[in-house]
Amino acid sequence: MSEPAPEAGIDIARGKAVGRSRVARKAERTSDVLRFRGVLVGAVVCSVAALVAYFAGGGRVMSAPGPLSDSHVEAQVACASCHTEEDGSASARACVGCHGPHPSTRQGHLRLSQAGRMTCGTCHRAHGGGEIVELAPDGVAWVRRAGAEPMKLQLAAIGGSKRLKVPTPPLARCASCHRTESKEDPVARCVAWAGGKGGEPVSVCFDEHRVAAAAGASGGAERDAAYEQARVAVASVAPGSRRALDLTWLGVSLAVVLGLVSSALLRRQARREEPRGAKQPVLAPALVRRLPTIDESTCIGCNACVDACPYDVLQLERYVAKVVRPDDCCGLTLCEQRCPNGSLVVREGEPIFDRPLVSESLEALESAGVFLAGDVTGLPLIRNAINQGAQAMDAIAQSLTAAGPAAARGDVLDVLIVGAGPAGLSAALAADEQRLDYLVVEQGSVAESIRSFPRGKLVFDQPLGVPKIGELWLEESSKEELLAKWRRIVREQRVRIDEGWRVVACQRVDGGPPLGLLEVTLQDADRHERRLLTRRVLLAVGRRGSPRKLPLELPDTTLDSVFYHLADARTFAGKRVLIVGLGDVAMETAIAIGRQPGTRVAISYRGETFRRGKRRNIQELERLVRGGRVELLWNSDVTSIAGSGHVGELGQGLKVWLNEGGVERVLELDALFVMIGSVAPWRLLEGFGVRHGAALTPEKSTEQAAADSPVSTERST
Amino acid sequence: MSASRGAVTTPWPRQVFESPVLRGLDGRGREALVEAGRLRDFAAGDVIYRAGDPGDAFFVVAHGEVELFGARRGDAEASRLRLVRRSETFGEEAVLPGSSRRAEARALSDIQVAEVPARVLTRAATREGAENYGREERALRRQATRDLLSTLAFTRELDPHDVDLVLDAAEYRSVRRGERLYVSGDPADDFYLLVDGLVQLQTETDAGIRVTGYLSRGDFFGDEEVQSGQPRRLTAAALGECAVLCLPISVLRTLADRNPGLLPRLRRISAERQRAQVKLVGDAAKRTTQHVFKDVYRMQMARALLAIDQDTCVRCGHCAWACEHTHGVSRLVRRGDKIITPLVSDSSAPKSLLLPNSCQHCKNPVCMIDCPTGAIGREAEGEVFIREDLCTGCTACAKACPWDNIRMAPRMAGGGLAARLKAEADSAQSGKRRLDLVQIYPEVAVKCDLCRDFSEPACVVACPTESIFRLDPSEEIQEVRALFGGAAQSRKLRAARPWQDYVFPLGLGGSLVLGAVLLRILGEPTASRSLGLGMAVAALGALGCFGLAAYVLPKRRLKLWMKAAQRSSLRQETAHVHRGRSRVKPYYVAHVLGGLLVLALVAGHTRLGLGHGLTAWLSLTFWAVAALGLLGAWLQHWLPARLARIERAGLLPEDFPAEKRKLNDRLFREISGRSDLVKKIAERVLLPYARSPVGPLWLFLSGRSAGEEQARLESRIDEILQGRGAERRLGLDQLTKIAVELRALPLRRVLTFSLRAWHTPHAMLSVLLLIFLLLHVVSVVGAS
Repeated sequence: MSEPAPEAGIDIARGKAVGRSRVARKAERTSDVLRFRGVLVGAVVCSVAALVAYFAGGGRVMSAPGPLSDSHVEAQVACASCHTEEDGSASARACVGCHGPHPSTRQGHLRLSQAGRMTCGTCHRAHGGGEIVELAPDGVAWVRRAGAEPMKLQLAAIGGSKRLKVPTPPLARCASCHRTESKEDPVARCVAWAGGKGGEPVSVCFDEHRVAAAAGASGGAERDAAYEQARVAVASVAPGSRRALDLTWLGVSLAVVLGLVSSALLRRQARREEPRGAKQPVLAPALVRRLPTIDESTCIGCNACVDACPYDVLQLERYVAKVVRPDDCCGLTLCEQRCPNGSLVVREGEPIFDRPLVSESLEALESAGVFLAGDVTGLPLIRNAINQGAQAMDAIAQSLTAAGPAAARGDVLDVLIVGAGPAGLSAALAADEQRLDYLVVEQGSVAESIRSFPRGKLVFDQPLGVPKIGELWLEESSKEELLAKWRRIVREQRVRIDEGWRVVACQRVDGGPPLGLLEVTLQDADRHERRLLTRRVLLAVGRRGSPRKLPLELPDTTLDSVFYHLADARTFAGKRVLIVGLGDVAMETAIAIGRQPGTRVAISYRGETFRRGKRRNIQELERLVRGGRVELLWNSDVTSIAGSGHVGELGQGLKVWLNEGGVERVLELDALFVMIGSVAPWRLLEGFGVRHGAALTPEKSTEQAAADSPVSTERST
Repeated sequence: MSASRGAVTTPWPRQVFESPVLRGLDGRGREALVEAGRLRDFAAGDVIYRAGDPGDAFFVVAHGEVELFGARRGDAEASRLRLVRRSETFGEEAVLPGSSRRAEARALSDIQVAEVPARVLTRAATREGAENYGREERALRRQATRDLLSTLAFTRELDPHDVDLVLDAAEYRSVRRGERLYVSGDPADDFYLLVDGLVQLQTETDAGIRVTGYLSRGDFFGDEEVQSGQPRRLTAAALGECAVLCLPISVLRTLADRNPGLLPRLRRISAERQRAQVKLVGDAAKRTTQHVFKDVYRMQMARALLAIDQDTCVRCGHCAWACEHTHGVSRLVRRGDKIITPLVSDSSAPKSLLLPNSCQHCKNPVCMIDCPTGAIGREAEGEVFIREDLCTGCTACAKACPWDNIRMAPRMAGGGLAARLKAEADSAQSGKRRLDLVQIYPEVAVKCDLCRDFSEPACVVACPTESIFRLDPSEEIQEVRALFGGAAQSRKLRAARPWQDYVFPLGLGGSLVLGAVLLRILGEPTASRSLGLGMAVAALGALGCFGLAAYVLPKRRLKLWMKAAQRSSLRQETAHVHRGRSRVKPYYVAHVLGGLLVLALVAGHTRLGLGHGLTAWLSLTFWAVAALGLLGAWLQHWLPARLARIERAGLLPEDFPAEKRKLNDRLFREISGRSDLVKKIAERVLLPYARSPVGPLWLFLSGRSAGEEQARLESRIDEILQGRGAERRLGLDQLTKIAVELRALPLRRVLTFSLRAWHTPHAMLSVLLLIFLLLHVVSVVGAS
């Protein structure tokens, strides 16, 4: 059979897009719906503002006299004065009506105008014109340029009795007849530059219509002086002195912008109104054991609570939800929150003891300056750990502010974060944000707990009601995705982490916090010691502590073949594997390895049936057992282990003796997985003076890993 | 039942309860049946139901004869399957999962039949105790299975004794979506017949899965290992809720011993099926990676799939707005998968279709099964709807829907047309009850119900470019039709006219010509004689401006189009879900063409000058509005197809930042744990490619589609490698795909933005324009 298409169909193999989801989508208001918001309001705002600007500005610039030259405006020239009714065109006759006949004194010009090829309009413009220099006998000069405010100058008096008006049209208007750039052309003698040399060339038209001397100036010298002054006046027009920008333009443009902005603001407002998940963060760990109870007479069997539970405590049986794994209940009330008709109520039971005692701000009750966050507080879920880490850092920052500035001692940290798991990393990011001097110490490597998850495990599929803080979160991602993201954040944000250092002791210095310090002793794998002074400590060490080990002596030769977590199932392809334990982790490991080609997997378990674990895992395991991929050894116990002397890829092989229901059995193995739970890190907590309920009850685990316990627990005051 | 010519009468005749299935019922049980069921009369020749009709009731014949008529799988001709006489039952497939008719039932004489809802019988009988009833239900199931087998090809040559053997040994099993019936390596101990649903045969590796076949209703599988007795070679996974008939493999071996031709026949049938599918899927995969087989289950289930033609859709979001306007909260989110596939009605060109989040009215709605209060119902035509008064907001349906088409919303989320319509109809008392519901169950599940309270669906009515429509994939998408063997005659999908292709250029050309002519006539200096024409042009232009602005009315006043549905008890016999058609589109076309005409008129009137004072403001505003409008029309005409080429899924403008983060995360995740060669390629080629700031510009200028761009990038990598390390760079296509998407993302963002950005200033300045225009008209009229 050949294959139709790779990657076709849903990817069932990787557990994606399978079955029903556990989360219901909320209706959302997309930009499709909201984009029309505010357009009308914006339009009204824009129109009103534009009209106000238009009328307030008096409509001056663009109203009738606007483009006329100022002198025409002063003379109250109307449109009809020049434009005729018939065709609307203006003629030179209109100018003559006011200005009188204006023959040129220059023969050439005169000839042209008599031939009709030159009119007033050739040199002067009625609209936008008015280029002229007026010289008074007392030396006051007015310079008018098109588009600029008239400018008054005080020059030397030239004498005489009459004002002289010298037109100064742009030289470009002469260009239709004259070669303006040529020195030989007669016009060269008239050229001046508005705004000085390099400005716009203008023609200073002296004696064009009337010889200046004949007009009243008393002599040739005065005429020459006037000529010079006209040139000076033109040249002294500052190039930038254009007419001030009319405010109407500004007003109307502003109005348009105002409209656009107001509509945009309204849209944003509409988006903000979105109903958010208004639930309060579920951050406080439960003080008493909690268990859901279900009223079966009202339960409608809708699965809402079953989906909400992160630990599969609930299950639907005969259309009614039942509590099937009460031991796994974590005490969060997600199920209660989701129940549509109140059939499920979480009731409180006996107090919980195996939990450290912390205040609301996550500070240890009897050990000031020591804060806790994450799983160690007794509150599960990575998402909660992330939130708690940030929350605890806020509390630490507050307490540091309250305690005042640090005592003047070198090398004192503000806060030492123990553990680089979700809570520790989130706390480190928060500390960075708060500008605290922090350091993270981690006995393994970053996110060790998550790294030990089986490959491809879906880490988050419970985005329910719990808000998320910060950037550590990824919606529904696999272990690898999350790890990659965290590593990247650690690298990019330069989170200060010292890996491979274990906390062994803690002592109070100067009376300890809040005002004093803590001295924390660290040890690395080679037993080198290092002491750190810090003002606060945040313990984000998780609950796993270290894996529980078999109560057997393991020969050194077997160490390479005994594992406590599965990193990548592919390395075990074709191997013989025994898994001790039948919890979820053990089952997931068995399933992952059992799916590899050529593996032989056996599971050793003390009990006779499945006692706990997720339904999905049990079903899948049963399928593998049926398919002959996995062998289940009920009622069995590992009695002794020895190296087989056979050297393979994974190290030396193993020989394991099992007691299976009273019958001895020997297995030849390549790898042994011990997955029988973990030992909580109570000793470490005690070292920091954190009290926990377990002290009141007999110690549960006898095989306490020596490595876990700090050597010194004394306090100095 | 769609065919409801029969009139209802009571009480039921004696013969009905003489039927073996109903004989054991007591008085209360009979009452319950009479109350829930109905007695119907048919004339000779009447069709009681057709194959494929949904049906959850079976029939007991009171008098007369009924013929079951159907085509055996693989046969072209339909033949008689069974004759049903007095006191006998038919239509038992109602008790099977999927509950849709497999054959056609016809009355041979004038008949009277009792229609019994299967669930009611189960309830009435189990009240007595399950043991009493088990026998009857088994009998019903057995008859249903017999009918089922008689419609299959491989049972053709089995004698009745063999069929009985199969019936004795067979066992029903229901499988949920995503569950695997068997995994490669499992012992082969069953042979399966797919009664309902869709199963995918696949091989699984760590790198992913490879599909080797799709099995739909009536197909068998698991026969490969019957003779060899080896473990399973393939994995069979349910793509949706499935019901299978399991037959122990030993029984099949016995059958094979008695009928030597059986196993070869089975092999031949499955080989033929395989060959056909390989060609079909292979052809589609060659053309695009966004083929319909990406989610073939959706295609199989959908009865009325909402699709948006991305080549013409201008991304205005009017459909979602109309939905919100009608229902208070939008049940349509314009976001989702995209497929490229040819439709039945079109000649050959594949269409680029977006499948947004909107209910597709499944043939076997899983939401309906999961609803604990029975709030989800289905019309005879197959429209699935939610009765809000019964909904407790438990979210079961929303979680069950594999495509997120049901969402949770606050009850009474802001009125909407439908709520107003309902409030008018409701009495004051029920209004009070509604208020109570808000307090008890503040949330409610919402999903598309095809605007069942109205004559037409709002989204389709409101689309300005007729790009959004409903289709039945198994009839209207060529490839799906070929895979599942659609009905004999297909309904014709109204071909979307590519009007933009000619209307817009023609309009623009016409406008230019008219404008030039007007300028020539009115621009003459001696224009006194054309003063009348000038006045006419001015008046037309002014009226045109007001007319153009009036486009807002048909567009925004949905009330004009959304008429209350005429619910009558008598429905058309072959009724299908109502689809509606765009009402706004003619106005959109008119607006664009009218805008061009007004442009010419105004050009003539103003002689392209600005004028003074108020006139200047008026002309400035007009030209701004016109320029924005022209720009918008041109963008809407030209951009959608361009955008469709570079997008692999529908995104809303607000999704882009999150999408970028997501793609970056995916990229680094894909890179982590790869060989050094892959990492080096990623570092040297892919990352610079994806992050290049001018990259999107090149992509835009080149006009390549996402697929072409990916092929180009891959060939570039091949060039660098020159054939080295071919096996170590396995899986690089995923990386290149992400890199291309990263490059296309900013471009998509800009294009999506430009499709919308012009609109707000255009609309806003239009209002200003109208005010200036009014002032202008007043001042001109006042002056003369």
